[in-house]
Amino acid sequence: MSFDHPGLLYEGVEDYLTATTKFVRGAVAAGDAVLVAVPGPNLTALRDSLSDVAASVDFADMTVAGRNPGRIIPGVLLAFAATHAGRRVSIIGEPIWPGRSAVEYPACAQHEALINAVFTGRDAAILCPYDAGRLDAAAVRDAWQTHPVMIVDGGRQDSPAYVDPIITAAQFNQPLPAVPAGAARQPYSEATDLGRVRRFVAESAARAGLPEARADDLITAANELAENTIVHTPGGGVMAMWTEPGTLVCQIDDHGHLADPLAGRIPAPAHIEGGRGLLLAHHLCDLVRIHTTASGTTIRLHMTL
Amino acid sequence: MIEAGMLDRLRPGDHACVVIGDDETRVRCLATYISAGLRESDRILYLGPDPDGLAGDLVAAGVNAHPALARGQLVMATPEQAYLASGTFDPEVTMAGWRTEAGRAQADGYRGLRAIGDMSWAARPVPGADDLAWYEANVNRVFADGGAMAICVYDRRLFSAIDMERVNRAHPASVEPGADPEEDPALRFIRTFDPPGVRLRGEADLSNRQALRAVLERLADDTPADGRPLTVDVSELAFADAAAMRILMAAAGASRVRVTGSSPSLRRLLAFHGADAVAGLTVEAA
Repeated sequence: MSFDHPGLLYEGVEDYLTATTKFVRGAVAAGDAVLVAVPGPNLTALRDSLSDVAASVDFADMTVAGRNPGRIIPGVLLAFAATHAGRRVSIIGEPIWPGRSAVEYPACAQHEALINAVFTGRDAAILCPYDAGRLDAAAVRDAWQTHPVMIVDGGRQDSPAYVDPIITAAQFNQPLPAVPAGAARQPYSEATDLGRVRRFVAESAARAGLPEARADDLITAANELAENTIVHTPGGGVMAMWTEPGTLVCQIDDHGHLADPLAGRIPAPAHIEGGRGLLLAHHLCDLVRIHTTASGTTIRLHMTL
Repeated sequence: MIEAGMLDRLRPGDHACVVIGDDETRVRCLATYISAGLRESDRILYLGPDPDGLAGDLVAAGVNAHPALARGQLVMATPEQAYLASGTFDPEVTMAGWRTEAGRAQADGYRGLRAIGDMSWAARPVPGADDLAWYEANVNRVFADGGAMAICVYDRRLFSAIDMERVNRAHPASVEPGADPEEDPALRFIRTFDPPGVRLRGEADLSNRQALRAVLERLADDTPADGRPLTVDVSELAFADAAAMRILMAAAGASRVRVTGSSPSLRRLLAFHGADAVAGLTVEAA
């Protein structure tokens, strides 16, 4: 029983395939349950290279399954481990790619750090490739901070920059860009306000042209988060909605403090009725960014249009 | 004094919480609700303080109360003359009382019973008053039968905010002064016999969670057993939150439950909560 979480720095597809196929073939030979969750182009290359062991490997496009980085731990990694309970799992998880936006990135870095907190003590290996040739230098530097071990030029080394994951998660608990002046706003404070909150979200989603099924998802997520405000925090909250190019944004501001950095990342036990609001938001939305302080919390939801 | 709004449009089966903060609003709400009852040929039963004073207030508000009182369509008494006669509040006895009154109203030729419970007494140390939130949630099982409807009037000057919150969430609907007059009761329960079960109409969220829980938790007890699974018809349920999914799944833990008329978003939400693994639960599409 041990957890291994190496970061892999690669440059170019050949370098990528050499390291990742070696990881997969070793894991398959050892009898592990194996999952490859990487962005589309890398997925295609890896599938082609692994055709001989494809029956022993699950594949997922990380730009879909892990579009929202906050969904990767519960929806991809823990979900895969749960379906292979009792077996060691070996996973290639590539959550950070050059197209990740500045608003998404802090959530990606928090995700990478929190993998360490969630998987410690589990029988698992999670290899995280970083496209060192194309990513910002800062993202590569952060990889050294979020991975206890790094693989560079085919060699493993302990990362001297590795930091306690909870500290790293706190470091990326960063303020969000300001809400645009023209955003629509809906305050709420009581349970009987939730219907108005849902209609507010529905109207904004319809104006933005969000398809109905996705609008239902956003309404569900926003309702759960507004309920959290009403149940767990003093003084109500405000929901704001606006569009950015290609994205509908919904932000919840309240006076609560989200003390647990793992909130929303671990499925609640089946017998517990509540406590799934944030988990559900991660599951349904394309991005969930959180900034929390002792005096208030901001949660921003993105839906791709 | 009589205004259009949710109070004017409540129907048999409804159970609404009316929170008032001043006497004028109280009279206006009661006048509206009672007028609708006279119009719809309901037996109207007021159980609250000072019936004589209310009769005078109703007349002043333009409600022709005295002929209705004389012919027995409008009946007024204090809670102490009715369900508090023993000096103790017994929720089960009170619920049985509503059933009896509903049957009597229909036997007397009325459409059904339209009740008004002024709950001011519960602010006093009446034995059993602690069971109020349980009662308000479970009395929905009586109204779901469709023979009776009720509003419960709470004066927010008499109750703590916490108490108000608890009782409010036990009602499927809440009437707020100043709300959109077109607004419908948030949630309705309609008991069905073929197939046996209940139809949910409206929106299930924190504001009516305890009502939903009571109705679904006790669905097997309230449904004559005929070997068929209990049916929860959600085809008219426009919204249901995560907790509602857990409540549905819990109901299926005790008896076989068929959820019918499920929208794609509701099916996705049930799947997220692991409904596929609940042996007693089947989910059918709309």
